[in-house]
Amino acid sequence: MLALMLLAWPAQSWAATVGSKAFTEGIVLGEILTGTLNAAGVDATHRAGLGGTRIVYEALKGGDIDAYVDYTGTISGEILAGRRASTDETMRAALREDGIGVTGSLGFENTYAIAMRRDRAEALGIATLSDLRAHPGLTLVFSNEFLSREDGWPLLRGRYSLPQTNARGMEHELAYRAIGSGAIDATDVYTTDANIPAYGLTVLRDDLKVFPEYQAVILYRLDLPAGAVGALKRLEGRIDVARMQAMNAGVTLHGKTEQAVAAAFLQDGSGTAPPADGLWRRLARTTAEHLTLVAISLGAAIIVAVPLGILAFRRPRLGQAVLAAAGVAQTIPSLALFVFMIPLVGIGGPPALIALFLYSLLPIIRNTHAGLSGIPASLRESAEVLGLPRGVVLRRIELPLAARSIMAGIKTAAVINVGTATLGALIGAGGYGQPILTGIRLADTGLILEGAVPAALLALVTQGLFELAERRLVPRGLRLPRQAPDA
Amino acid sequence: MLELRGVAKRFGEAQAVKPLSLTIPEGKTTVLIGPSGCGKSTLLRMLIGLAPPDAGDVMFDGAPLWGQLSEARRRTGYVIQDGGLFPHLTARENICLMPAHLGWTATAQADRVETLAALTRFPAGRLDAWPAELSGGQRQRVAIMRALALDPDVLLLDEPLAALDPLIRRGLQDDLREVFRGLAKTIVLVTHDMHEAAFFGDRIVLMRDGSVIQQGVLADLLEHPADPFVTEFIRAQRSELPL
Ligand SMILES: Nc1ncnc2c1ncn2[C@@H]1O[C@H](COP(=O)(O)OP(=O)(O)O)[C@@H](O)[C@H]1O
Ligand SMILES: [Mg+2]
Repeated sequence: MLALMLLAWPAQSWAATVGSKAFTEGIVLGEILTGTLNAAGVDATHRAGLGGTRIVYEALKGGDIDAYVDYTGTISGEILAGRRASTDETMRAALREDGIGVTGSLGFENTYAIAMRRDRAEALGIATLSDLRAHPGLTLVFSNEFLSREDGWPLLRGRYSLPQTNARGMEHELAYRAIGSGAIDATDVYTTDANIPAYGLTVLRDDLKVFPEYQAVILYRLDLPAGAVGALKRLEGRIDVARMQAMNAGVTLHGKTEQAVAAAFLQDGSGTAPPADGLWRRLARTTAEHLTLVAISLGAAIIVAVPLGILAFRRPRLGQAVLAAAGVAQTIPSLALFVFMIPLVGIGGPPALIALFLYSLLPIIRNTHAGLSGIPASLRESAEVLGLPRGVVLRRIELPLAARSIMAGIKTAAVINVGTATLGALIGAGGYGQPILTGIRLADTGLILEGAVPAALLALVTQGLFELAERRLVPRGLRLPRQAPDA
Repeated sequence: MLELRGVAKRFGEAQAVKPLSLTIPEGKTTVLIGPSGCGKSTLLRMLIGLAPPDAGDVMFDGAPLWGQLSEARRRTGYVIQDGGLFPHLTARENICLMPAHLGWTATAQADRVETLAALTRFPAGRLDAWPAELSGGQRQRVAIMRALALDPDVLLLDEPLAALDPLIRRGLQDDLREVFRGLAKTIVLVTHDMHEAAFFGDRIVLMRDGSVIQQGVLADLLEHPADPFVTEFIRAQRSELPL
């Protein structure tokens, strides 16, 4: 079944693949890496916006991508956490064990900092991180990554002995909006972030020098051709903080595409980026991707889950185990499941398909089991005493009687599947999640709606289609209202 | 045709049927009667393999039932109180389940259904209705047709009329007796109603607490009661007897 699902996903011919995490700077740099490789004659494509560090690094290790930009602080504190890689040499050695090389700094540092609205900070007399100690009531909201990583909030809180205990996590771009509107007092920012002036924020000075260095470097697979590595290394020292801020502003504040900003940097002759797709072309593409994800994963789930439901019904003890296993798969958060999949099947469509497949199993298994168990004993025995073989009883009597319940299970799975498939964009599977993610990143409501509206419509259409199918598949005799009185 | 040899059945604490032996005469109608919970249904279910006995043997046509279960089931029709019709199949499809599975031609199936409808006085125009569209009496007639579809040697009926209104029941009783007389099959009918027992039964088997108290024709039970309980049980329902 897995193999079938993987085969159904179109294969691509080899080219160097650049990856990037799902934030503007990462994607701009990913475009720059891709353009640089292409200019050096290395065929390269860009898989943009692949979720978090874990996902992209696993993709690099597994060979799904060949290079991407990360930061030294992230590498030592997160990727190599627990592997004692605090100095340049130890970091290099540890990466080499994974088959990964690292360039020197691209020329800028993008370190973590804490920002407050300038007017609020001045009113409270806060200029440094130490000053936060005197204001335990401040509302602190951080990106989920910053909140949990060991070189983020936990480190900061410990070193500065900060009293705030109410720090919450939020998607980073949403946090900017919240702080801009005054809903929260402080959040984590990147020093290269164009939003700092845009939202009237000020960066609090790290007076105890707690944050480690976050030099931007390129991580690449050691099996890349030497020409490609050489081209990447020529980017060392080429981008300073001001340049990076300007490029970020070009995307987040001036509505340029990452490709356009990167192209301008590369000055590749014309300086123009490939023309962006129009709304309808984008919609057609995301719709096709989304439908492919849903159709393949749901179809496979039906083929597997209905027999499992039958098995669970026939063998009660085995059935408990099957239902429990499917229930556990259901409780794994989708992002975690996607990350587990990457070392096994890489990034893009396959891990998303498998995750969606696993999520769709439980409702179908459970409803198949419930539908069969719900057949009254008198009907079950009436079927048994006819002398029909088990298989015929199942096909002619039990499954039709359970049809309504099974269809309801498939409908539930389909609607969940349509919604969950939007998360596939985090690992490069495309679909309606792509415009949603990009929209959140760029604070572009139109773009968010471009994904959210069709996703909601698709869920409604799916529901409607399954109700129609139910009318066709559930036998008419089961849909009749009540029994006629004796006459 | 049918014989129980030292069979017994227990459900947890409840001894539904105590060890007993019983021969069901061929080509006659035997009625199992007794108070509710005395083990009538359990005994009937043993005869069709739905309640395997804890001890003893069920003999079908001279050989143990267990060695020939599917075969015996095809040669036996079984009707329960609420008919047990499959709601997703029409009356005709319910009746033709087995014939269709055995590969009868459409014509042969239609002929058989027509014959059975005439026999059970079921309106031919309702044959393609769903069970939910039929009245209680019509559903029982369909259930009997389904049981008779393969022209079985044995017909087992578990209180087939108990769920019907008294008036409907009378009409179906008459029709059913006609059917039984016309077919001369080995029939076992369970009831808790003495009038029904007298009406149908060539032989009556009276049970109490999982044991057979007495068996014979009605006159035997009336004139030579084996136990005061026999007289008591009959007297309690005397007003309904056609005496
Ligand atoms: N499947 C079963 N599980 C547990 N107890 C049962 C079951 N079937 C019958 N019994 C018990 O066995 C006894 C006889 O039941 P039954 O044969 O249905 O009696 P009758 O048909 O004479 O009313 C009753 O006490 C009943 O509760
Ligand atoms: Mg009973």
